[in-house]
Amino acid sequence: MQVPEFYEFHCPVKTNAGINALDHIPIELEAMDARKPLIITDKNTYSKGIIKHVASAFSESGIVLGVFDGVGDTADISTIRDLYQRWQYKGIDSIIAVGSGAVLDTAKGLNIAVSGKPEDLRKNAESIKTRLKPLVAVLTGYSNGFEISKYAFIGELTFTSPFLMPDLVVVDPRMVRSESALRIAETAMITFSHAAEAITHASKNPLSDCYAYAALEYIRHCLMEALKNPKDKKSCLALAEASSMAGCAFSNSRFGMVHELGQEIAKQRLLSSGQAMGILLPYGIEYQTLKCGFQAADMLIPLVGFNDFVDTPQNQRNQKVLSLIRQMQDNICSTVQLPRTFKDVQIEKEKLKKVAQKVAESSSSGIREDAYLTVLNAAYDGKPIMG
Amino acid sequence: MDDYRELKPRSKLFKKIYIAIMLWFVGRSIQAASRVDKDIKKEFDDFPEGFTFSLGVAPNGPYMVVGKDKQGKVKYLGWNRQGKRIDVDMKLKNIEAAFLLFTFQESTCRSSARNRLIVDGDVPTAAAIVRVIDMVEVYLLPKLIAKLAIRRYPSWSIMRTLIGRSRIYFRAILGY
Repeated sequence: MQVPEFYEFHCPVKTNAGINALDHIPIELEAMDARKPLIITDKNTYSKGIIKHVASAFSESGIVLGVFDGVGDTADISTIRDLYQRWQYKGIDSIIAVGSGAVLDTAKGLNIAVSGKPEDLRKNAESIKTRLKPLVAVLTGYSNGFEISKYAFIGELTFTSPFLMPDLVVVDPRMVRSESALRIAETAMITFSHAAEAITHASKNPLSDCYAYAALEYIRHCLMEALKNPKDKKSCLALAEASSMAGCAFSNSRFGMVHELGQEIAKQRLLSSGQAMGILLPYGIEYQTLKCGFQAADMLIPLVGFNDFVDTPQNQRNQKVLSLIRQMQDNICSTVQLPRTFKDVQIEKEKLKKVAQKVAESSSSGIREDAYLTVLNAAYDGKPIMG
Repeated sequence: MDDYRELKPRSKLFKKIYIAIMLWFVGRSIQAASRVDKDIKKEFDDFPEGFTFSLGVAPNGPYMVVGKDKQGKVKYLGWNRQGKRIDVDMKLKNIEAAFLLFTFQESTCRSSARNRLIVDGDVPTAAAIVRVIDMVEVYLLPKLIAKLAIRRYPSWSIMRTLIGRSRIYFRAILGY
């Protein structure tokens, strides 16, 4: 057992998960001295009609709820500016963000503006130093853990502060059903990458391990069931919970290669981040295990259970984890139309080179461009790095 | 800003009425059971004179209020909490949590474990009240349903259940 000499862990997020979790929102808001929330979502989520479940939780409060469903594909300053004006004269005191990605980024951006000054949105990423207004994140079928994280991506700016993490995360079975097995696979791959890199990274600590372990176990037990039957409430709920756990672990860890490359590929619009991370996962974890001192073996217990962990000789545990990840990738790819390699989706090697260059420029991990390129090339050919 | 709209959530009137009726009947049954069952009487004997507790739904009810008068008799004091000093205030966090409890989809114990129940007051006394409510449910409900509502079905004699049940129903309906 390794006891870290020093670590920091910060997770101010309260989680309400399970049957009727939504109905607890009013009393939770009241505990935060908030009574008039604004619901922020996107058109896709609104058109599914699930916002009515959130609204019905306020049936006894007698208030009129404001709902904004104009969040686009990415969070932008102009939307936040419009919302800020609405906030000023509607007496709103808290935010309920229903959805994932841009919805949460917009909610976090609005929270920065209304809790301090709107100009704070133009300052540098480390400018948020105090508690913000109450923020509730209601996860939907496409949540991937970023919602819970301390990051907000608004336009070209990235904000990082533990105060950006929501005060409350709600995972309700009525909200997390997904129509598409492919989207489930994509979000699960992001969750898996976040949990796997949090568990194996040098900055890991016993508390982030707890979150990441639980997330991996949920994925192990529920992912294939959810892919076979995307309308299955239990497995979709479990995957949404896993994404929030992985988000907490990820917020207390450094970015790993899979995350960095996956995000950059999505940013350059070559592939969605879920698909990119799904392709990169075995190669990124393998490289970091071989060259960066990652302990892939730390993932073995949540992936196979304690008995199989004990049965695996210590010197074979890293290899076993890598083969399990490859096996999982195969299973997913044969169940849904998820690409196995970058060659399958015809991304040219030249473009991958640009991705490696860009990530190496912006990364604080000190990993060199050729290392990123090795992983990308292995993921292009679909061949393990060690051959 | 066409993307902005306002929603006025509808009140859940049916669920409110159902829970109000259940609370009314359970309140009257607690009063009746305290005079019929020695275990329930014993639980109330430990409470001080003038002790009052309330069980209901946050934020706006319905509620039931039960108290012990100066003669030591347990009385159902109605649904209105106004002007009453409540010693132990037990609230379900919302109408849906109350509906799960009173339709026996969730036992008192599970509801409490899932943090759906807020207690303001002495916790051991609240635990005693939960024990009383559990025993009253055993009397009021058929075994099959009562098993869902409580954690462990007691091994009472059939005579105790049947005779107690008829006496409690009789007293609860007549209100004495």
